[in-house]
Amino acid sequence: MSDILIIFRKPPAGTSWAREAMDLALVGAAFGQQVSLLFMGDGVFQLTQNQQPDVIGQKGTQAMMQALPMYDIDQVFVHQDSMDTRGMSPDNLNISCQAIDSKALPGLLQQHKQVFNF
Amino acid sequence: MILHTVNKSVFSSQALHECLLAAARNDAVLLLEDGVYGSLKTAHPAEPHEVSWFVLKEDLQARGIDESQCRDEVTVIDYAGFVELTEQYLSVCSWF
Amino acid sequence: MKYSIAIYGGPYSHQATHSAWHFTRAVLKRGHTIERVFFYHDGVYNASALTAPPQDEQNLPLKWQQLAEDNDFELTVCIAAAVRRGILDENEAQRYSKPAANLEQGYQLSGLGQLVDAGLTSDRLISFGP
Repeated sequence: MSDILIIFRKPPAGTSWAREAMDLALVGAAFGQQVSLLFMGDGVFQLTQNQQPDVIGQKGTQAMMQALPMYDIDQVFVHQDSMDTRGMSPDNLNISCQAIDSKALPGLLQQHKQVFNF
Repeated sequence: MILHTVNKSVFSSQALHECLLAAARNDAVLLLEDGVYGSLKTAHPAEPHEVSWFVLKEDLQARGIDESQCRDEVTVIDYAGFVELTEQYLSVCSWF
Repeated sequence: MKYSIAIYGGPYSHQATHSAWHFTRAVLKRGHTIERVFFYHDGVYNASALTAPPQDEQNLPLKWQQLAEDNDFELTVCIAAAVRRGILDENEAQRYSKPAANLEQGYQLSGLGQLVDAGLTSDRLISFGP
């Protein structure tokens, strides 16, 4: 059983959720916790390539996402149906993710002691 | 065994839909705040799910919804009942 | 059992704080203990000492302060989320050369690690989102 699962369900730029959820992921890992990430719903838009948040005066989360391996966060999942619905392909995401189908979602949640859901 | 809470109306948000995708059959779903609209008979989920359904009484009352308007499989509980659920289920996952 | 609560919604914009308040009281009434209430995202606005609601509305920052004092639990505010939103204690006000501090008494600024810690040390962590 892993320690923490963080679910990302909000798109990247409209609110600070992407950033504040990613902050929690990195802090959790820095605390020595085994952290897994799941992108589902509109959260899959956080994985889009070529985001230019600076155009609207934001920092975005790209730099933090590139830093995930340094924090030993290597369990990164993306919900296949959420991508399909939004016309996204697992081949062109900004970080490498493991696609997970709907049937496997409940098992993923049960495998973690604590689920944070943003 | 997870208790899921949903606080958004099913008529305007994907929160309940996404919750049901991720919920296991022995999990429970508690509808609270604007989530209580998901307990209405007209809000029956498109796909049946074996989770146990609960709705928070105080949030129904605040919104003028009578318990008779709720789906049969939904159990009405108060805040004390909410706490009891958190005792029974191993963790709580909030969908908002 | 030991409970911790996380609040992500602002006090006068979303029901989250009210729900968390009622839940916290019910937890205590059932004989459990509250370890920590953690404020993150817009939840940090609960900690403003400058909150001035009309008299016929509840003063949520003060209600939390009283409940925490009576039941000996922590009101912890994420420092990064708070400082961005203009909730500062004396130290931060000095650090950023601001004219005043406005963190309500009984609340403390601390790192986001305290939310992770709440999940580890409490039997249950319940989140209330906006």
